[in-house]
Amino acid sequence: MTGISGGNSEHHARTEHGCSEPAHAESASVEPTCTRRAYSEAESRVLDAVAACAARWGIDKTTVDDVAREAGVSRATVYRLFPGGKSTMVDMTTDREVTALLLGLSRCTEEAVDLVDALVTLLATGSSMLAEQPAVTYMRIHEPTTLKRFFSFGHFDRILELSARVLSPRLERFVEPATAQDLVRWLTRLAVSYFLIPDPSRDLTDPAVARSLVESHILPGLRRVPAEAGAA
Amino acid sequence: MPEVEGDGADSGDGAVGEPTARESIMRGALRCVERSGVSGFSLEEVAREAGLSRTSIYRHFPGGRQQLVTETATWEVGRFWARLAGAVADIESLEDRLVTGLGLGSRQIRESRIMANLMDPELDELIDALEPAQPLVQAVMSDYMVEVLRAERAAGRLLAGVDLHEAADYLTRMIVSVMTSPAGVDLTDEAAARDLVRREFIAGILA
Repeated sequence: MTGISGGNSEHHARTEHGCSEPAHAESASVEPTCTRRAYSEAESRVLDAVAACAARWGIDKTTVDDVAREAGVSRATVYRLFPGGKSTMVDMTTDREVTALLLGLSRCTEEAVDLVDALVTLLATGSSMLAEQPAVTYMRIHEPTTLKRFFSFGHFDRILELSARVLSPRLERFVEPATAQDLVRWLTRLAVSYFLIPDPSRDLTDPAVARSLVESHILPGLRRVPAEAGAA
Repeated sequence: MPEVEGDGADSGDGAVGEPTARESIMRGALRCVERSGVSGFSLEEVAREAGLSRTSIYRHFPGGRQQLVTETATWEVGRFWARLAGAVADIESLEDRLVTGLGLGSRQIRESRIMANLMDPELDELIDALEPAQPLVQAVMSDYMVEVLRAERAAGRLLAGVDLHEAADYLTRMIVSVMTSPAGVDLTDEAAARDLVRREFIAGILA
């Protein structure tokens, strides 16, 4: 959150996960096709402020005034930019932060040597990024039910679709586009399920654990698709 | 979440026969929610519905409205899964059971009068009410799946080397995730649901 202040065309390095800054201009091609349009600088500043407030004291306690102060604009400006107020800003911030996380994750799979490597990286690194996302980290402890909403029913359907769109191009080197989308949704479900209901004996942020899950359930599933049986 | 019906025999909560006062209150609460949504429901209305006084509601639910909402939601979710398990219990193969169960469950969630009543902020209130029960629901369902898989193993249908507890946990996570947020598949389309079940649910479990 704090790292994406440069607007939505510039994304922060995820060096803590061993992923390099985009090495080639090619990574710009993974820009999400899902955001309707680029945000203006003022809009970006406000949405960054929402993210910063959420990381500091959660969503529930954040007010429009807090956001205005953090962004260095007036309350009236915030409402002019986002007439829907807090709930609209929270939705847009969520989409933007989820997209930023997914783009960071996408870069981590650039160097995957094969499908299994890519799947394990997506699952393990994605799980770590989710747990370490600043607002998520705060809310997990202080506002668990608010956090849970983002991963429930229709809200989670939206995240699944966003995830499929941003990440599946990375898998298209190895499988058909439709299969790539299915795989990404599948991995997203697993990462989020283990995040919401952790299993102490199965920590998916550990690549070895992620690999064993991929090997025991995902690869056999892929082999059941005759057309792409050789993919793995 | 789906319609409340029946007499407790299907509820799987051990309360067969005469419903307890607690249960009558929770049934009353469900009827109120079905009628007017989570936020439109008052303890007076529930008391009237259950044929009890407001005081006796507080006797059973000292935490008042919030406790009643949370416990009713948890209870109803338990019943939802128990009814679903009951509805597919006689189906022979696990694959068919999953396909049928996913279709039934997702249809019930989509069509339930409660969900239909919910505007977004109310859905949030429901999620808040359900959140504390989630690990418990996961544990109960997973125990149930262990028994299902044990039977599959006895019938020689399990792949060699499958860890029953791991597989049960995996299936439970997938069922809950896909049924509540089915992005990417129409579970009421049986062929699509079967394809999903074969690839993503049982490929690593069943022979």
